[in-house]
Amino acid sequence: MIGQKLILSSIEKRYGEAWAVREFNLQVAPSEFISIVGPSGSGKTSLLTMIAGFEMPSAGTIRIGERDVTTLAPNKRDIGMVFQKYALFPHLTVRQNIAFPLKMRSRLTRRALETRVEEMLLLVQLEDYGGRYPNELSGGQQQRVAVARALVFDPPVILMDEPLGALDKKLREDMQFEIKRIQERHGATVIYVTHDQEEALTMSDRIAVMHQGRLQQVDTPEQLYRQPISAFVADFIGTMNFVPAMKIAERAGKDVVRLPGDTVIEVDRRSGTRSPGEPVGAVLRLAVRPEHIALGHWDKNNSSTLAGVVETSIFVGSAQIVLVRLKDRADVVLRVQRPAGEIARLTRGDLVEVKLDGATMLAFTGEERRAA
Amino acid sequence: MRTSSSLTSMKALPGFASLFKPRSARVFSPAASWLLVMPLLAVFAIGFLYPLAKLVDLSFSEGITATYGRLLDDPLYADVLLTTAAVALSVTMAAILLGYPVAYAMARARKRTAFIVAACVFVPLWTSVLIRSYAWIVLLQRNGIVNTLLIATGLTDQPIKMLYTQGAVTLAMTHVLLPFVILPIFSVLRTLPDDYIRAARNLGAGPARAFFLVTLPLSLPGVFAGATICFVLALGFYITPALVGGPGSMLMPTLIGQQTTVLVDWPFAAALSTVLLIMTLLVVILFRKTLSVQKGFGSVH
Ligand SMILES: Nc1ncnc2c1ncn2[C@@H]1O[C@H](COP(=O)(O)OP(=O)(O)OP(=O)(O)O)[C@@H](O)[C@H]1O
Ligand SMILES: [Mg+2]
Repeated sequence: MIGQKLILSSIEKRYGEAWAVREFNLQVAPSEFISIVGPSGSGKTSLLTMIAGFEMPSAGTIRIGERDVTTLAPNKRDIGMVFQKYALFPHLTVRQNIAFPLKMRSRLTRRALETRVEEMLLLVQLEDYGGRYPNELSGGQQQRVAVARALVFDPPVILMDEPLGALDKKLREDMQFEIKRIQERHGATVIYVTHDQEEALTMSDRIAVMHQGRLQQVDTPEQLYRQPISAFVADFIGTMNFVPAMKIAERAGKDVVRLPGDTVIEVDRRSGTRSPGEPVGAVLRLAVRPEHIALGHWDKNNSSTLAGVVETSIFVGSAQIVLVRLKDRADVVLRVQRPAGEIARLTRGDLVEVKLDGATMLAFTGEERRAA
Repeated sequence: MRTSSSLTSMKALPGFASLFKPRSARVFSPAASWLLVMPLLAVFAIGFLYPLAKLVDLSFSEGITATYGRLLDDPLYADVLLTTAAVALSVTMAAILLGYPVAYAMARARKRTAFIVAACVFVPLWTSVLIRSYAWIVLLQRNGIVNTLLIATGLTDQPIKMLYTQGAVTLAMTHVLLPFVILPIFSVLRTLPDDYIRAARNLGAGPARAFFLVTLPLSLPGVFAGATICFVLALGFYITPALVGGPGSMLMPTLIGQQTTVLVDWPFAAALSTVLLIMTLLVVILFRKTLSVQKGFGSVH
């Protein structure tokens, strides 16, 4: 297998007074595809530049396989990198671009080198474009050349910094599969930076979420979606609704909470999310996914239900998305997603019952601010 | 021409408006465009083209043999022309060799350092050429600073003749023209994304190879631009060669000056000027050709 493990221990990076990366620990398995996501300025690029060797960490060590590369020059690291703007050499043809890393290494004979370049062109399906210059290619084609150039010397680790950032939606989706396909065939360990969480969810073995230079959580996409450990992660990955609530009791490992409008429900307390549990009387934020909220007919005689007023109802093909404002907390608007056809037509101003299920909700402490 | 404000003012004149009827929101019809550019074209024609035509015309005014014939007959003139080209060429080469590292330092250095280097480049540029040429006289003359230093350190015991030589002309002209080479190279290096060098380093090139295989080729447009400006300016440079050059190192501009002011042979001076002009044009065309041959540079800018 070509891929090697990558271990980042206690990486810190400071620019003057400001921290770009703090206390960063991450172990990436050989041939793993790991994404790093986070809002703008969270330190993703800073982390990659340190792994690539363009910047030195202020503290901490970087290991690739058994090698400590923390202070190694970038050209000695054997890391492939795909830049956000591809950084293809404009004065060299596609073929010369791909051959560049091989020439730097001069391990191959000329014949072997040419064969290898043709192989790569074939892999990225650009066999007819070898003689062109980068500015004669479309964005997607340039992107594939950049991938080919990063892979051609069989680096054990490949870094990609928002490689699809400049492409339109359709092309992005095609390229996601393409990159995944190439990586699986090739076997390199990939660190993939993106701020598109959807892209991270579809491509990665694991996802690392960064916030203000710190690692918030590393997990499989599914685990991250289902069991975010903080309100920040919950909010950042997928769409999440937050409902304010107050804890009024504890019963059999569950929190009994009161929602706006005095509805009372029980919420599972999950391991690791909050320990120890908050005292009775604490303000909580209940996180619930749009697909886990159901809507029902408003029954004015049943006072124990949560009432909402429909803001908008949008049909998006496979689903119906309804924005509902809570009747008793006008500052809370919930996004509800139901399969198309499941719910009756709703119009602005309709009163509905908002049905929440404690088993599908997560509780976080109230203090955490919603990320920008 | 394409601002919306001029469009709205146009609408105020109904009869006029149809002539200037825009095809789309911000584009004038070709006829209107030409009409609007006319005054500028007229200024160019009267200010630049007419004098040139007059000059060429003047060179033929006494018959072709009297001017161009004489130019060809006397090997002295061909000699001067060749010397001029040779001096211009060596000035250009020297300016590039000296200017490139300076431009590179300006582009790569941190803010404070870059500012100091830039000041060292610009302040001479803003100083009069006359002053800078006289400064060279002070430095290079028989009992000037350089000779005094050489004798004091015992490197020579006789003052060396430096002033009024071709070497002095080349040296002083290089100094004067250096900023014109530095600036285009600097502006190309400045706009060159860091990513290219990073990519080269990442793909296995050491600092030297990254420079020679990526930075240098990508900065060639700036080098060519600087070289063209420098060479063309050097071909027509008058003050510096006139001051620090001697009779033994006569250059075209000095020769032309002599013909016009001392000998008052205007047709011959015009012929010399025309030859110099053609040579300059040839150089510019040649440089442009070389540049357009370099494929793939389209995206560099
Ligand atoms: N060279 C630098 N000098 C000073 N501060 C820097 C430098 N590079 C990055 N920073 C700071 O470090 C922090 C992290 O920046 P970084 O570029 O790593 O963010 P990012 O996660 O890649 O963001 P984006 O998604 O916008 O690309 C930012 O606050 C940024 O201002
Ligand atoms: Mg970034």
